[in-house]
This record gives sequence, structure tokens and C-alpha cells, in this order.
Amino acid sequence: MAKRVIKLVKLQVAAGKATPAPPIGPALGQAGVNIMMFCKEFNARTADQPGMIIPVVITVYEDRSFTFELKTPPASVLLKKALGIESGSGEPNKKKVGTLSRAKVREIAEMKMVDLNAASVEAAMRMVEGTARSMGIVIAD
Amino acid sequence: MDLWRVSLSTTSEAADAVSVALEDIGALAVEIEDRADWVRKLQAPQFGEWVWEKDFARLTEGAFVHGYFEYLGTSLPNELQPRLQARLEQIRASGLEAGSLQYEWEKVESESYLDVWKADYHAVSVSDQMTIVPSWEKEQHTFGSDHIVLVIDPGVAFGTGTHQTTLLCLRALITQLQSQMDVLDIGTGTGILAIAAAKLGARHVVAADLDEVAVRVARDNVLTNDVLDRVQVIRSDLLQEVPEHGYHLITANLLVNLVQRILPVLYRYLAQNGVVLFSGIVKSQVEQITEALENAKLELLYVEYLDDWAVVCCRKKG
Repeated sequence: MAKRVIKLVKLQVAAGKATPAPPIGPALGQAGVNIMMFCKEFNARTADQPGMIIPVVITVYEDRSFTFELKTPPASVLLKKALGIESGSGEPNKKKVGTLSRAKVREIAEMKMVDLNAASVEAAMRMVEGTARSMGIVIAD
Repeated sequence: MDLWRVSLSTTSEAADAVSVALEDIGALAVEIEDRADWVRKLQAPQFGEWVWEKDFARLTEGAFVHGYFEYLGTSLPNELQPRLQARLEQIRASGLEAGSLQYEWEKVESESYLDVWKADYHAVSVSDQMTIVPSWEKEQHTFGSDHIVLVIDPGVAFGTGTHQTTLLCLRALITQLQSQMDVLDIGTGTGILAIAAAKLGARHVVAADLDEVAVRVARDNVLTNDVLDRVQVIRSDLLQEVPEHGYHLITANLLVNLVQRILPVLYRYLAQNGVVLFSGIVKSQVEQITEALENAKLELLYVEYLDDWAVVCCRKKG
């Protein structure tokens, strides 16, 4: 029974706290997915990781059934965690929120390699670095 | 809740930078559609699924990032414009290959996502003596006078009857519930288990939920199902507000971590030989529960499975 994929979407949801509010409601509801069933499944599988933001890739099939895969936290969350900050800079070109070593960037890139859509560690590092800069984080050698 | 959705076209590489920018300017949540995920699915299908390239052809640059904002009037996009622009400039200057970063705003009405799936929700047969029917289908069905019909509108609370854990609990209730029992339902959601217990002959049912929305939905459903005289819906964080009483049967269709929280004290709420149904438990988590029963003064009766899910039925030790 080959099922055609009609929607493939990545959402970032707090572990154990999925509700029909955005982004789940609009992203899945408009595709005809039973939102509550997704929430129950997601909460059950993430109940043991409280406080984490978990990216989840949801595959919706033609018959509105779905599956999902849990991923490692996004690079931006790992960056914020490494610096102990809540958000990126409001004016990243003027105000810097912190400085990060290239070694730390590599560490985050390696952690993310498993499910980053990047071909090599270097490509992953370029992505992590760029994301960091766009948030007002300075990268030091 | 009505929403504003901003959709930006970018690359796979810059998708994370764009999503954190949207969060920083106040997005409630972010959704990413990434061409790389599709390609991966295309190359390595996991469940025999197949992908049409035309289905992701619109992701021309690589990714779409959608940010959701509360709909605070028509001027919101203009108000957010300067901060969004500043962040996008920074992404362009960050060394990331970011694509066009073109975007557009659109209003999303709650009706367009909350009710769409109703079209796919129909009556569910639990057993040959029980059926769950959505209220908008009530008139279309005829049942024998001794058939138990649960009228449940799913709304925004859990327990539509289509989920495996609900079905497992309902089937276990049918075998375990005897008339005149006192029942406690922890985490009642739509109230479906409490209502089923009442219709199966329970004397009194206490249905508890932490979520105010669930309490409201459950009360509506209790009324619709005409069991107001036997079901009492209360707001309670697990057992906190539940009256101590020797219940003959307790249902706890929760999650494994919540089940573990109530396990140590549950026996105090059970009558002699009282029965407990635990669900919301994934197959791989069953052992965590069964191993903890001994210390909780409970003994295992049986475990029943449906797909990936389990119900654990046990009894208070004599």
C-alpha cells in the first residue's frame, strides 16, 4: 500500500505540550489531519523530555493519515543555550548578544549533522555560523 | 484564534535563521517546508510511501518558512515591517545563502483549520454493544434500545474515540464495569470514558481534568448524553482535588509520566479489589508501569494492545 505524501512539514513544539493552537492547528488542520490525535501522539512520545523544544517532521498522506519523526533541537536553540540567552538581538547589526568560539560552532554543527540538510560538517558549520551571525552573535577564532 | 501568517521564500540553509528571526519579532510559532526533507523522502521512503515531484515544485528556492502571529488587527504586518526587514538584512549579510527572502502576509481564520477535519470524522464502533457518534451525525443512525450510543463532539479536548487508547479503555470498561460501581476518571478530556461508565451502569462517576477547556467540553458532553445525574466533572491537577473515596474502578488514560506520578498514592482511592485501567501508554513503556505496580500495592490483571498502544489493567492487592 504505497501512500502518496501530500504534505511534509517541520514544526518546533515544546515537548509534551502540543495543542491545537498554532503552529499545529493551521499547519495540520488545513491538510485535514486530526489535530488532536497528533497532539496526543506527540505528547506521549516526548513526555520524558520536559522543557525541550523539539522539531518534528510530519508526513501527511493522501488519506489524511500521518507519521512523524522527532529531530534534535534546532541550531538556533542550541546557540541560545550555549550563550545562555533568551532571544537573538533585536538589531543584530548594531547590538551583539554574545561571542562564540569556532570550536563551539563545530560542536553544534556536529550535533546537528544527523538531521541537518547539509552535505558535510563544513557546510553544517557554515549554516550554524550564518544563523549565529544573523542573531547578533559574534564568532571568534 | 484568528492569525496572521507570513510566508517567506528562502533556502534550506537559511531556514533556521529565518525561523529564529520570526520568533524574535514575536511569532507564536513557526512552520518550515523544506525541499531537502522532500528529496530525502523521495530517495529513502520509510513506509512504502511515494512522492510526486510536482508536490514540492513550488519550493523553488528550497524552503518556505511560515510565521504565525496573533491577529491583532489589519495593521500588524506594517507594524512588524521594520523589525522583520532589519533581521532579513542581517541574514543577507551573515554569509548564508539565503535566497530571495520574499514574503507575503495572509490572514488565517480559525474556522479554516479547526473544523476542516470534521469532514473525516464519523461514527466509530467500539464493540457490538457500543458506538461513538458525532452530534452532527446523530440523526443518521438507528440503534437497538440496549445499544450504548456515546454522542461526542471532539472540540478541542482529547478523546474522540478514534484514538487507540480511547478504544482500548472503552473495551476494557465494557468487560470490567459492573453496575452500581463508583468510578473515577482522571484526565477525562471530552469525558468519553466517564460517560461510557455511566451508561454501562455506574452509580456515580467523578471525571477530573486539569484543563479548563476540557472541563467545559466534558460538561457539555455529559449534558448531551443525559448522564448529568451520575457524572460530576471537576477541575483537578491529577488527584489534587479528587475527593478521597473507595472507588471500585479508576480509569487513567494519561501519559506514562503522569501515570507514574499518581501510582504511589492511587491505592488510597481504591475500594477493596478496586480495578485500575492505565492507558496513554506506548508499547515500549508498558514495563515501566508493570514493574512499578508491586510498590504501588497493585497487581496486574492483563495488558491489551492496539497498534502501538497499550492499556494496563490491574487490581488493588487484598
